[in-house]
Amino acid sequence: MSANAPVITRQESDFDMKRRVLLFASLLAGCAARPQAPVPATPLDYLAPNTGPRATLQIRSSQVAGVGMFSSFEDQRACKGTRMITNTKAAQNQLKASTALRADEPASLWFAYVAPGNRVCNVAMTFKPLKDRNYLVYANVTELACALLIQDISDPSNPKLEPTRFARTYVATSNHDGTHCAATDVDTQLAKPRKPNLSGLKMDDLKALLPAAPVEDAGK
Amino acid sequence: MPGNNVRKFLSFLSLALLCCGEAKALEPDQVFKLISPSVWLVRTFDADGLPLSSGSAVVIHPYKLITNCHVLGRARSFSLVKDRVSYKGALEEVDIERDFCLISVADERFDAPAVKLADSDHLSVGQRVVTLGNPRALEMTLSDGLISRLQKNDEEQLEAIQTSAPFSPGSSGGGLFDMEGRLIGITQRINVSAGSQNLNFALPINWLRDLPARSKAQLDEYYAAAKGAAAK
Repeated sequence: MSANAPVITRQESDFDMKRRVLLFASLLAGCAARPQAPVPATPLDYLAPNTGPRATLQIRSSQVAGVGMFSSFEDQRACKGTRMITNTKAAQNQLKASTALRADEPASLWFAYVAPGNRVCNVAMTFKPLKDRNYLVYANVTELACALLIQDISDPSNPKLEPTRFARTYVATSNHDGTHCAATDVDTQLAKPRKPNLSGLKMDDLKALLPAAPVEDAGK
Repeated sequence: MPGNNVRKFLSFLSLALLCCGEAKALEPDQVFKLISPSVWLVRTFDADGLPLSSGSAVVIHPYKLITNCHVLGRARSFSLVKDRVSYKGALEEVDIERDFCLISVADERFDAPAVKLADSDHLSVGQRVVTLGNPRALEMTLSDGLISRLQKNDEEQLEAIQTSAPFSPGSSGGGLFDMEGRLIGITQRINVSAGSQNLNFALPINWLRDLPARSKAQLDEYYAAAKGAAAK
């Protein structure tokens, strides 16, 4: 552990923990940006919907040595207005929480993690939860990266990767009311069928070898 | 009695027919002799002509071989190699979603025989299999094992053949064969997560039937997207 690594004690208040997470996220993910307005010390807490169609979200993570925060947003399409669901302080170095999501609408989830040594990772995903379904989001932290895995666990004996999920491009912002995801056509992305890709390649990875593109008939 | 002799002859004949009508399981060394001329080493090269990676490929038709697309990833060119003889290869059909790529050799001297294809929809767990490939560029490495599991999707379609026949990086694109020397799958991946032992997966050879249509669809989509991007 480096000399600058955060030391988290049990005596710290939840407020201190949130502030630490946000400070690190701001410093390391968006240190060049000058805030236009005073930065709120902590994001607001996520308020689970208690009326209308809802889905359940279970949150878990691998054991983490650093500081992690799991959030959703006020504006789920733009990832704007951070709303914290849980953090590693609340869960003692392993995220463990449960909440509700509004069903049949896009839901965006953001996991921010500051590893010992102040290495930061931010990962955001959007998916479309369905009414009365049960979802598990698992934040996996390794030496090299962090990732979110979203599964539909409504049938616990047959968990399935959530087919509507897609990764968002995280945008660093020093303001928690700011936008945390690059703009995208969320509805188009949600509707896109997720095809498995066993090769792990994009067609561009074979570009030099591909058969030539068909030549269009000049008469057409 | 003549009647007894006729009966004996008929029962002998029926036994003989039974014997010869059923395919005979070969010993691993016999399978190796049968299939080894058809399994080749794939060597890929970067833009400077320097070696990039290696894998395997199986001849399934004269001048045509099947391999995993990931063997060819990021390559500028590739060759098929065996016994220090090398032929330049070309990519013919591509299914990156299933990791199935058809490659060809234009050189007339490439006279490698095609293997026989099995029906991968009719496999059994516990069936003996062998795999032949070039793990770590160790040319023509044979190993044997069982079909451990047939991995199917929700529609009961075969997605992968799990086998205890071990393979390693470089085996990709090699063949998984039954004991008659027929190709049942293309060796594709291994599970190396902590605690895993000998969890190896091959792609069902029946996917070859879908390859022309799936390749055309994926290439059409790719070229349409590229054309759209160029027009912007």
